[in-house]
Amino acid sequence: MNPWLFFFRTELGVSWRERRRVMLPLVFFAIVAFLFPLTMNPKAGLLARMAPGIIWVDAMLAIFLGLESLFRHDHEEGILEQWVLSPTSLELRVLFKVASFWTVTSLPLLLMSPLLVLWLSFPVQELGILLVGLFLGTVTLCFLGALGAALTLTLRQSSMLIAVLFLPIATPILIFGAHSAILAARDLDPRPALYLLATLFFLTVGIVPKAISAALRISYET
Amino acid sequence: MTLKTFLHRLGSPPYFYQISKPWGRAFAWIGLGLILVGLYGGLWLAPPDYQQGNGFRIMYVHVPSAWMSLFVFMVIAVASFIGLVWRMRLADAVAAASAPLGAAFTAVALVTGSLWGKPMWGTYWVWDARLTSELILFFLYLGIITLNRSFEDQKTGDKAAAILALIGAIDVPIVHYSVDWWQTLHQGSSFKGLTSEIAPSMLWPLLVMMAGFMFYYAWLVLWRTRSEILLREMDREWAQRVVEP
Repeated sequence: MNPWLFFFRTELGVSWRERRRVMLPLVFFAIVAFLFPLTMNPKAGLLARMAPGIIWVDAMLAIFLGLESLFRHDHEEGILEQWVLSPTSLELRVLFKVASFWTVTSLPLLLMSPLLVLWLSFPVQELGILLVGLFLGTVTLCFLGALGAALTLTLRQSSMLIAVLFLPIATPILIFGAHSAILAARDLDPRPALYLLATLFFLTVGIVPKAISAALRISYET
Repeated sequence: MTLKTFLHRLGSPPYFYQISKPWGRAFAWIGLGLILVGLYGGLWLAPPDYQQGNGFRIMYVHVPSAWMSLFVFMVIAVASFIGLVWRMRLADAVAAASAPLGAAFTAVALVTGSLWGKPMWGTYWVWDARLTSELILFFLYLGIITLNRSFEDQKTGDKAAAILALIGAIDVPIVHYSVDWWQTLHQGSSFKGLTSEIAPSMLWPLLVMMAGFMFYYAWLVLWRTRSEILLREMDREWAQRVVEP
């Protein structure tokens, strides 16, 4: 088997052994979405208009929830140090690590989003567009969030700091992502927003693993 | 002395510490002079605007601050790049010294902008494209400042903040574009290339103020870089001689 695929599968297996990490973001995602109809007049019209924004902000927060522990265990157990010292590419390893993080935390959110679509009375026939947008957006968000996690790796109580680093950088993805869903819900062409989202997707996947690797190396340099 | 040897010598903290004092003084006086002239021109000499009355005069502070908020971010990004690639300690110090200044310029731009917005738009805050991207810029500054100060080892903080600043520098145009795409209420930029829509009598004080703000920033950044350098070189002999002569 290709060693990188093997690495990816191992990472998935490790996460699966800790099923809490898969379940918690999912439960959080559902609970937050469920709070909105409770705190406003649940007239279908208003909810439907808010739905894209709620789903996107909710997805971002659910991803954020898992970030602090993304590299934490590997760091504490010295695995990360071996990665940094290893002659194989740290960038590729980061790429697969974040890909497995996405599979564990965000893929379940995508699978769960039909439920939210029903709760928030988002037009069901536009579910496909919402999912394409969410796929592109959540991958990008995972990479940006991983950068925040890598920069704050050695700090205690890093989650507040991750929020300050990650959320402002992530705003363009939220804007394009939520607007692709808004355009679709209004029967307009969502492709401009999706193309822009795809551009950011490729830009992030191309550049950010390098930045994450540099951030991880800092912790072992000094 | 050629430029190359000058740049090489500038990389040495004691040399920088020595020459930055007269330069800083000069920048401070030039900046003060320009700002006073610009304020006089903007607040007394320029005629009231036919639409906005005297309300437009806040732009003599607002526009230079908004401009500086982006300029300082550029300085931080360039300094961060130099610090990461060539390990120049002075560049790290310049980036660390600049971040709070940039945050302050951004805050001034936001506050003056919303004060201007109250009489003109009827509200202190609208979710307009430039206001929003300026606010995101402010959050980015806060992130850089906090990250830089979070580590016990200053070198780690410098490098972490430098990586964030570089990613932020790529992000700022994207944020600006995305927010612009999102919606805009703000009047279009008054500078279009070299031609300007502003009357010359209103324009020259603005340009003078912008130059004044640049010198003001140059002074402050030199002064703050001096103390950043002393902090970073605390265990060196020259620094101890400076602190306790």
